[in-house]
Amino acid sequence: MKKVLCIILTVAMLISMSIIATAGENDDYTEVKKQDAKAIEFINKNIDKLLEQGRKAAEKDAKSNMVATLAGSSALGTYGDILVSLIISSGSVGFAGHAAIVDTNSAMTIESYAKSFSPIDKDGVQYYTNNWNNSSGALLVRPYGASLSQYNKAVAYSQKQVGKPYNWNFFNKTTTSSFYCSQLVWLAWLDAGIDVEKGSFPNGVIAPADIVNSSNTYIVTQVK
Amino acid sequence: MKSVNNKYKSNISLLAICIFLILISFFSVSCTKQIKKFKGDYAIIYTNIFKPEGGIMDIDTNGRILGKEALEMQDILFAANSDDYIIMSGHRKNNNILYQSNGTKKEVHFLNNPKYTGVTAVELYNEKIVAIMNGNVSEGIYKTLLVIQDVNDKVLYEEIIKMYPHDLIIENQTLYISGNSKRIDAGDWDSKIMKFDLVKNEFIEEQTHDSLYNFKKLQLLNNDLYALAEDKNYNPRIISIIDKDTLDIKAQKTFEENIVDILSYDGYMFILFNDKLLKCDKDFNIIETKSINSDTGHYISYSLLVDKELYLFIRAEKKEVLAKGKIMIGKIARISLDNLSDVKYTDFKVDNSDNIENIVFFPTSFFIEKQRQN
Repeated sequence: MKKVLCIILTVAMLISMSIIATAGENDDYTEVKKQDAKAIEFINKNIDKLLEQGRKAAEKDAKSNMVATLAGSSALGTYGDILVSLIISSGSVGFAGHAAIVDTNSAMTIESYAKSFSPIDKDGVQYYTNNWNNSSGALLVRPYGASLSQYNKAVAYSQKQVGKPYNWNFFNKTTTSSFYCSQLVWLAWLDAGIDVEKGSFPNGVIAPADIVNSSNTYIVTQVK
Repeated sequence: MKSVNNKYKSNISLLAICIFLILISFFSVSCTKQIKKFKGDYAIIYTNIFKPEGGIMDIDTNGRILGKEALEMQDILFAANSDDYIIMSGHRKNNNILYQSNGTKKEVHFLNNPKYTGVTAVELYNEKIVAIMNGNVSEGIYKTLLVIQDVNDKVLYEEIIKMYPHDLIIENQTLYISGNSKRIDAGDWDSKIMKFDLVKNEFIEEQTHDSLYNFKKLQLLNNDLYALAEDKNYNPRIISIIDKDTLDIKAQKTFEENIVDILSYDGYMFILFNDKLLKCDKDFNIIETKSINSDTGHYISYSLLVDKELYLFIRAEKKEVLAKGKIMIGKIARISLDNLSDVKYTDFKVDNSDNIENIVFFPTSFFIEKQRQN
């Protein structure tokens, strides 16, 4: 009887803790996630049109004489390019998807990946092998009118953030002491002079879908 | 009050749904088919880059899929092999799959913590695994963690190192680590090589070469190290011959195209490009050239040397939908390094390409040969 009572009390406690822990959080991010889902739905519905617009923009952009992918490799994009995947969870509660920026060396990316904990006790922004060209549905995104020096500046900013921890407060997107994935990309390009959130839904969080939906960006290609 | 009650009810419902889903998942995993014994010629391990979803396929040399198994692993990107083991490792997640020549397999997590990030390089020797776990910047330098763990998951050694390694090679209880190093304030990477005594567990030597960006691959030939290096424009077109004792560069050759891999076998250096394989002597004089991968829109994404055979995955840049809805992902090539004209291609075609993002594989003859010897 005592055992049964203990079990019931434990379960009740767990349920209570779950309610307390999740109530406020759900309220904060419920709206954000709804808006993010709508943004992703819009992108998916209009992807062919967006790709066509992007193709035309890419023909005239500063990188028009470069191939979009590192020849003969799994790497997607070249230095400063924005990589976005909308069909996976980056581990956040605020939005879907993941974003990265291509390093000066196209074979590497700079990413703040929520699910990774570094064994040297420093998580957050790290270098990874750029194998994004393997990721079905991944998008290569560029800012309109960006010059080559702006691409370099965006990368240089990202490189300086390597080592900073993951930012779990998605509403605090202007902090530079920690970063979530799309916040890093946004601040890197803001430092280079282009706001890659402009024109997307202003809900206080910069999600990967916001970067794709921005009036300041276009999709160069999508991995099939 | 009404709002709180509604919130309470919805959270209870959520908890009930979660418990139900956990039970369903448990039964699904329990009932998932497993490949108990490979019947085909190749074991293909495919994974999603960002989700722990993938699978193992057993295919024959005609490309027929003879077996399939789900795999809850993420971003398995490269492999290393010894006589008795093959390990395939994750880059974004600390999940590794270890096959033994007797057919058994197990999941390995370095430092026995699956929450850690993945590895940048891995190697096997005796009953041990050497791995470099991705770290981060600390004190202005990018650091990673050297881990030595045995096949029974016992952690034998760990040490933080100041470099980003791409390859490891072991000879006579000496570990060579190649890659690059970065000081954040310098704003640039330099190629780096380190030498580690596996008996005394101490570093013997290290060298940084600032004329090169990165040492990608490492091989041993005729008592020298051969390193595939990237120049400062990130082109992997240079092979450096490095003294094993001092780690100084003795000689260097620059090629006109990007090199995919270098392999040492039977006293020769084999240099792999996307469309050909060169057999060279120690001074890079070409002895034989073999054309491979003549299809445009394809590239070599993976290579593995097992015994005297070189196995390649030649990947299509875009998946091709064939007749009857089959999807062509690419092809496997098996090349005999004793006779470069002995090449066999196998198409890798699937019905469903979900989660087939990273692809590694090995020949199932790895198991059969050992069983025959036993």
